[in-house]
Amino acid sequence: MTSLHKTDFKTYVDQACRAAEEFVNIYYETMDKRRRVLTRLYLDKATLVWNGNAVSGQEALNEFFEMLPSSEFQINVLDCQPVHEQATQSQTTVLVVTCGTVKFDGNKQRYFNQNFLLTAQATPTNTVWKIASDCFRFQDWAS
Amino acid sequence: IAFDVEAPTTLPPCKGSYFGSDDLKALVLRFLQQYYSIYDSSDRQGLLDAYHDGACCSLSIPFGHQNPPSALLLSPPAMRFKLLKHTRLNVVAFLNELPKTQHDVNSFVVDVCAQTVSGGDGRQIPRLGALCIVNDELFVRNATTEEIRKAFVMPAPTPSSSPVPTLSA
Repeated sequence: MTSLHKTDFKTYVDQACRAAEEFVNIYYETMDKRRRVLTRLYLDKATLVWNGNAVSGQEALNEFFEMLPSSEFQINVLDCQPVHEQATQSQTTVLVVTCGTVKFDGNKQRYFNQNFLLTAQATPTNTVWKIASDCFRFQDWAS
Repeated sequence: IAFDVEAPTTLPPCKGSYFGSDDLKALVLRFLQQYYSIYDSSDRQGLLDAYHDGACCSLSIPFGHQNPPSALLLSPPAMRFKLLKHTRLNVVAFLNELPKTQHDVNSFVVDVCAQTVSGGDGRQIPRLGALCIVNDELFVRNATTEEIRKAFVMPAPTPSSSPVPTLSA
């Protein structure tokens, strides 16, 4: 039983890592170059906490991202973990953590940390990963 | 004739910790205070009560901040799997091997996003009735000069009367 369980967990980890890698490439490229469609990556009821500002729902997210200056993100660290099904009502969920630098137009370059909860949404034809929650912080936000 | 095509250059103001509600704030802060008092003690074995049976834990340390690589810092899958600690016993055994620490609770920034708690080190606490950690992504970086200047200036909260801190799960 134990070895079976281990195999299962390894499969989850591999799936989580593949989803996380692809997600991170798509997310930051969309953020930098195609901001208008960024909210398509979010669930309808997704929540964003951006440097302590809470934004919830597609419409509010759209407004928020429109207001942000154009960006150039660079990711230095990516980490991911599958989230236990007990914590997600059996929704396949992945926790993704990133850190790197961002240069917003008209602002100095800054280090940031960000973490996402991604959930797999099954459609009749395929599986689409969507952001359920997003939390962003400048490392030196207080200064 | 005027056209409003000016691109924004102003960022929204940065705010402190975000908890969502006062109840959540009290619950989460109590948990974190207990968690770090055990973490900073001589024996981290007591953290067993803080983790879910199937908890995961991983550690990221960014290096070369001054000269970030263009490619993602990703380990090959096999190595990555080895670095990811799974199940409560393995997680706490791993934490026990890390060097002794002293945390400045007053420096914490805590964000509660949906049912996710993430601070500088991205910890997640999805079960609220009885708090326990399911996903722990520990992130260690160097402190900035400003952070070092401010650290441990405020006295830590008064320790509880019991000499051995406990977690009420």
